[in-house]
Amino acid sequence: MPRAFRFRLLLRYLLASPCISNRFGKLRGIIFGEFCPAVDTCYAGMSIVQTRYFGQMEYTEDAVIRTPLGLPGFESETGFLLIQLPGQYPLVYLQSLQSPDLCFPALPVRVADADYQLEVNDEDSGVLGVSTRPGIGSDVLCLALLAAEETGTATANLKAPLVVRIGTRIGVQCLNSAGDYLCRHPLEEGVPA
Amino acid sequence: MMIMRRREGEKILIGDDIVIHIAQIGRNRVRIGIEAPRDLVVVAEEVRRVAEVNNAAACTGPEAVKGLVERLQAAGFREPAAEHEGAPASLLI
Repeated sequence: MPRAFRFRLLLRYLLASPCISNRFGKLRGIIFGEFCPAVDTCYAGMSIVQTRYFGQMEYTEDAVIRTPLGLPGFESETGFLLIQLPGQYPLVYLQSLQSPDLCFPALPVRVADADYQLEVNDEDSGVLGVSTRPGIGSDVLCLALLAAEETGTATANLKAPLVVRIGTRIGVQCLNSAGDYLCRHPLEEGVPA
Repeated sequence: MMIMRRREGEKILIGDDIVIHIAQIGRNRVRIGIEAPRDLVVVAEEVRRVAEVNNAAACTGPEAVKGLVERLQAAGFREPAAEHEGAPASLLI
């Protein structure tokens, strides 16, 4: 995939940002379909969440990703904020709204694998309200959670990405049935160095 | 491992209170109903594996992925020009 195209896919979700601020200044959160210009012009009705790494943050309801099924191992976590820090692009963080201590680092799947294909099963596609082969970047946002290995390297979970429908912001961690992807995909190979 | 042949609609009993019901046999997958005591965790194997990886991800902080971000940025993943405050998203996509 040509690099320009890959950037377009990323831009689609990285550009539209909701109002999220914290006491250290501005952080950017990500929202789909709507655009909120600046933190200063945010509406009333903001909520506050204690984050694991970024202190207290304010957010509006339209920045929340709802995960009605939770995540495997974290079944009671039904709300996350997607946070992007200045200077850490393309990394994003998924901060739980229920547990301040729970924050996952993640990457858009096509950063780890530019040709990534996604196919979800009937149950997941029903919850998401998309087809079983939703378009990454057009229908859904597809994020791979990152895990640090004992060797000091990071791996990405390409087998079970968090799939978030753009627009409704409903998210499900789906088992991808397309291709032989790994739960612990080594990033050294997938990333052009 | 014990192997049994079952048809659609038949059942397997494990102990006194676990029933495996072969609900439907498709071309390349089967639907299985499981009756088990509530305190017994029943989960697909790959879901358990994903849970383990999720646990590892929950223990991964910014420090652990710092090198990775630097490598990605060196490889050309730069912040899009979207950082202009107030620019409508549609102009930039």
